[in-house]
Amino acid sequence: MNGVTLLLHAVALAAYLPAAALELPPLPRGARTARQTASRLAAAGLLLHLVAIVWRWVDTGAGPFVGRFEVLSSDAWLLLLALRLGSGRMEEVRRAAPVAQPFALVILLLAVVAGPVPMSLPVIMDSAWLLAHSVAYKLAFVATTLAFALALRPRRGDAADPLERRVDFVQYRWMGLAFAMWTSGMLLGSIWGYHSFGSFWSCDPVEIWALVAWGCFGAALHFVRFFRSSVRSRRALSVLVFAAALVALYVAPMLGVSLHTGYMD
Amino acid sequence: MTLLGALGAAKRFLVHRVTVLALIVALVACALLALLVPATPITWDSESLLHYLSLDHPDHLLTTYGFAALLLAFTLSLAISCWEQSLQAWHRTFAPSVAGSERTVEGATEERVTRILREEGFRPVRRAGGCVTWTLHPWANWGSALLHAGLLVSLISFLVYVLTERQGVLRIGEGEELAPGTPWSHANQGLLAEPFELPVGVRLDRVVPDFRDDDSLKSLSVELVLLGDGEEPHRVAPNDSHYHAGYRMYHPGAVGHAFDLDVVDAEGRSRRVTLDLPLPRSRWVAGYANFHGGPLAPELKAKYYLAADRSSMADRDPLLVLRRVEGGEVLDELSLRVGEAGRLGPVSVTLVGVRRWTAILFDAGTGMPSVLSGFFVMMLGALLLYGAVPRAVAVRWTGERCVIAWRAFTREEALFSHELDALAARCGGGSRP
Repeated sequence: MNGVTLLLHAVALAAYLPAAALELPPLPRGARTARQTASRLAAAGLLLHLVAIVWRWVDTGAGPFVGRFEVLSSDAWLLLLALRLGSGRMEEVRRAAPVAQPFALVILLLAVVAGPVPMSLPVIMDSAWLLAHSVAYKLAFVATTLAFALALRPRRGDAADPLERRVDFVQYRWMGLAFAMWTSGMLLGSIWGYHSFGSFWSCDPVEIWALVAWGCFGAALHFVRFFRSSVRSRRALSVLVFAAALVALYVAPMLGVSLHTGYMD
Repeated sequence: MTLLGALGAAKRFLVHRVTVLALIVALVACALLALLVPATPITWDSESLLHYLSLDHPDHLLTTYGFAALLLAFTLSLAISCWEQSLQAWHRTFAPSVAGSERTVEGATEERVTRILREEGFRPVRRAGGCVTWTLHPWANWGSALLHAGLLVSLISFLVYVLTERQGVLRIGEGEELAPGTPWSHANQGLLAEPFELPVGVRLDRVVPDFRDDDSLKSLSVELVLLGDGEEPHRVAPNDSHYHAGYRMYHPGAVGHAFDLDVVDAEGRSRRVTLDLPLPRSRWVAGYANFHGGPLAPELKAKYYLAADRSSMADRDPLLVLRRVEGGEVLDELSLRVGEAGRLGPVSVTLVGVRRWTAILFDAGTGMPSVLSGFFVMMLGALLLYGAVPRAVAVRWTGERCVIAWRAFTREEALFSHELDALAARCGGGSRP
């Protein structure tokens, strides 16, 4: 079963890579065929990837919120899906793609390198609240990555350019929505903890890192709101918030035994 | 300076943008420091709150006067900010000032303007002096106020909860009966909380584990009886807590086996000792625990397999292994199955029985719904704040001409100014752009 999961991931990756290679460089206006090919390849990759995630879920009984392979793979899928769905309608998503898409592929590659390991869902994690908690953090991850990618986008004009100002505005709102999702993740995690074992906050390193990241979101959003921030300061703040979020999501769960150990095992 | 003047200056200082940002950064830095220097748990005793705030060692960062002052300043800043934002949201929602850009439209009719504004999602909120004010996404005006109010509620409720926390964990074996007031295995009691004792007698009837093919625990439930009137049976499981008479019972997932041993020392004195060991992760690995200062040995390492022949996760024939240790060196080792006896250094040991044990958490704390409600309000506020941009339009008539004033309540108002031109064009008879 692990072999099938891994094979499906490898095939999905094989579809994503040429799609990204076709899409990411600026295409001339007439390159419709290349765009269509890239779009079809990416859609096929997303479908295969989804089948692999569901297959794994059914096989182990543990959803894509427990285990390093499962978490990385599903996060990459969600980010690629958001890019695919958004790029047809929103200029801002297309502008985020040159940073966000390679990042998603790196995450997927890391998942494939880590590989699926035999696992099962711990009894205490068999809760709908945990699933909701995890979904909220995944959405926060997608919004944070898009905001980060947009902050680092190649600019086509100076900061006063109306189009760039609009993209900056959207970038700020995405960071705000990421903050809202992050808050939801903390709320749902607290409900899960309280509902499952009578503790809504355990001072677990992952929880404290999540709080630190949440504080970084708050500081960055206040800074941009209070001060006329330059392009450089916006980029620096986005990097800070993104780094704190990544540490909370991926690094802290691997630093020693804690309540969240199973999450990135 | 008068008292009111001083209060006004303090208020301005607390909500000044630099102060707000400094407070957030300081709190994040404290959380990071607490990560680097993990706090040593404090055991509440009869000391006062001031005593605990004076524990200013690095491992008690969050219980210092400095941190308390920081938290107080943050809370005050939040409360003032929240009040000011609520007032602003009220005005913007119910009596918005639309003193912004405006366009004069020729040839518009009141019916057409009303229809177009409704089509665009605007709703009338005020009619005064021949001017009708309309708003779009008015509730987004409350986003910031709700976000800050939710944080304030959560913060205060959290402090109340921590100070009045009443939790106790009971370790109990199958068939065991504990009287009311039995000391907890572990307890969390807030500084301002009344002492919390086991409120009722408890008897554990059964612990029912169920395993998957890969030996992992699939489900776990506990059947216990609360002794007293009627001897009510209760079933508690992880993710399935149970409320009863002012307290809630949780199963935190802890389970294992309790080994009852008869120990006879070198002088011939006999006593019963029970060792609680955690459940092994599979039939092939053991469940381990270390014991210090017990009657078997000053330093004892114990482990067990669920089945001596490793054939299954059924606990029909468990094997207990005891090791007497000194300075990391194993002095003696003894393996026992039920009914077997042997010597472990100077003592002789008989394994007389094995039972399953589990832990039940009793919680009689208050304030948790407020913490979670605060979180919910915060989340709602953030979604409103970043999910929509509120707008207001004021329409007044000067003879045959209609004057449309427009505002978007965001710092980047200019990004939406094309909406006014589009609106004016439609009201003047143009089509939707």
